[in-house]
Amino acid sequence: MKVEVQPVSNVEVKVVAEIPTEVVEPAVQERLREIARTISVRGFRKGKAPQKLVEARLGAQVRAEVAQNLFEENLEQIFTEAKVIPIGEPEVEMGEIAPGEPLTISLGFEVMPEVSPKDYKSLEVPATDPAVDDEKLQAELEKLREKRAQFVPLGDDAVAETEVQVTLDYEGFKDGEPVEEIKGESLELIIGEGRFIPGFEDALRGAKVGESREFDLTFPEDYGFEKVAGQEIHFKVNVRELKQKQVPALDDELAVDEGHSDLEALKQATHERLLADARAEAERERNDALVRALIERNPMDLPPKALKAREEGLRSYYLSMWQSFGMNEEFIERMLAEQGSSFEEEAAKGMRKSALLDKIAEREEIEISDEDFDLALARMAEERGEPFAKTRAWAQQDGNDERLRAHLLRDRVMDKLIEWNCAPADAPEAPATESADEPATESAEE
Amino acid sequence: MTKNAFEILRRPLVTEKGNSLRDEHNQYVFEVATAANKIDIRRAIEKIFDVRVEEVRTSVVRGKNKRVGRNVGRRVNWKKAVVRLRSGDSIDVFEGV
Repeated sequence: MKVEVQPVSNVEVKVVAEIPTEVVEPAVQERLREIARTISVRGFRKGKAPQKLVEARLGAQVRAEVAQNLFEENLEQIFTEAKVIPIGEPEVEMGEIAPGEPLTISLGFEVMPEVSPKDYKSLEVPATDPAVDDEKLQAELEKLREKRAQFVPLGDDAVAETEVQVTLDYEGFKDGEPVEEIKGESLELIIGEGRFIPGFEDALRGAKVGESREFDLTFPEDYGFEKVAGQEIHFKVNVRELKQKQVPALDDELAVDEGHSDLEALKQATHERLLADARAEAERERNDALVRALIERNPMDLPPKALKAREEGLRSYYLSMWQSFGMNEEFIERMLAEQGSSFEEEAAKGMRKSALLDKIAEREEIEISDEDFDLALARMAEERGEPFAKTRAWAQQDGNDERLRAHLLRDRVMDKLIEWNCAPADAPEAPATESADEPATESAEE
Repeated sequence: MTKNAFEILRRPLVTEKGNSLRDEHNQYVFEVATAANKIDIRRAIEKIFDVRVEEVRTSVVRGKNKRVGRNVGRRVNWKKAVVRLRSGDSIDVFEGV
């Protein structure tokens, strides 16, 4: 088989393969023989028609069929001989298939451009110094108190005022007619939070338990429920209960409720938790900055169709993840836009990152050995809480192991990048972060 | 009777029997016009295929009686010609169609 590679651009390649007549013709004849043995032709008993006659009648069809088969059989070999790794589905063009002619197959597809990563040992990444100051700690402790807040009923002579929780029944009338949708019982609202339409809370101020009030309010023009938007509604309200929010004091008792021995321990634990969060966040940011810097130093074109596909994949991935939380596509897109990104940019970043990390791995001879792979599998088995054999079986299904391997390799290159580019500054904090066990296994084998 | 050569020869008969006749005796089988005689057939073949005909044998194939439900019908009679060529000559339309 003759294989010729014609680069179209640095992200597109055309490969022309020629399967010689000596391969094509016997395959055609073999297929014709098969057909001749079973076909009925007028004037001949079934299966007795001469092969030549069958060829004359069905030759073109059989040749097309054989060409397709040969193409499928040889596809992998064509790619191997052409030394290209295609992305996505190739565009196939079959040459003319005439008797006695070799079969030419022309394949157009996208490839990752050739890059030779540079400067990856001298990337400039701003140093991060995750720290938790008193302010943050206090805020966190305040949140804890808020979470434990209780509402205690107030006495008969209490009145509705700011921070008092009012439990009330209400009914709305428009032009004297009750409005069905504006009616409810035991609605709880805290004066001062302004959760309902403006003026409603103010109209409640000073009310006592058991008191009924009537007042008119105009709904805002942009109110979500159209029927009443901009309308004046007459409300009848009955106050059932008044409760005062009570926030527990920040003391040993609260600490014990939270599962700590005393206040000091609670503070300590909260501080540690916040610090761990801050470190994880800092690490994420640093990794992100590393990748950004790496991409910036190594500009490369991306195959457009593959990029599009990746973008779509990313989109549906995000959607499936966030839709269960009631977020729609526009929302996610807006969120990304706020971070100065988009699905397309995320996809491009991902592709560039993978390509560059793979190249670096190649150049630096970073590899995932079978032991490393098993180790990773074992860790996964533990995380999933299933027997190792099951995880192993999963890995052997439809290319999962390849993907996992690629993933591990990229993680390892990331670790190396961190080592090369920010080792001194980050060394002391390393043990506290999630990558703690990975450098350990690495140094063990070196 | 001057007849068009293509009106005399209706079609080549490609059958298993015809094939073995060709292979063993260099004979070719045609369906021909019923009105054609051996001489017409010889001339027509020599003209169209540029070969030398040694012998023409003809027979009239009687149409079969066929019935479709209660209707009785009869297929037309047709003339078959078996033509022997000078050894070495051949007609290659039989390879195809």
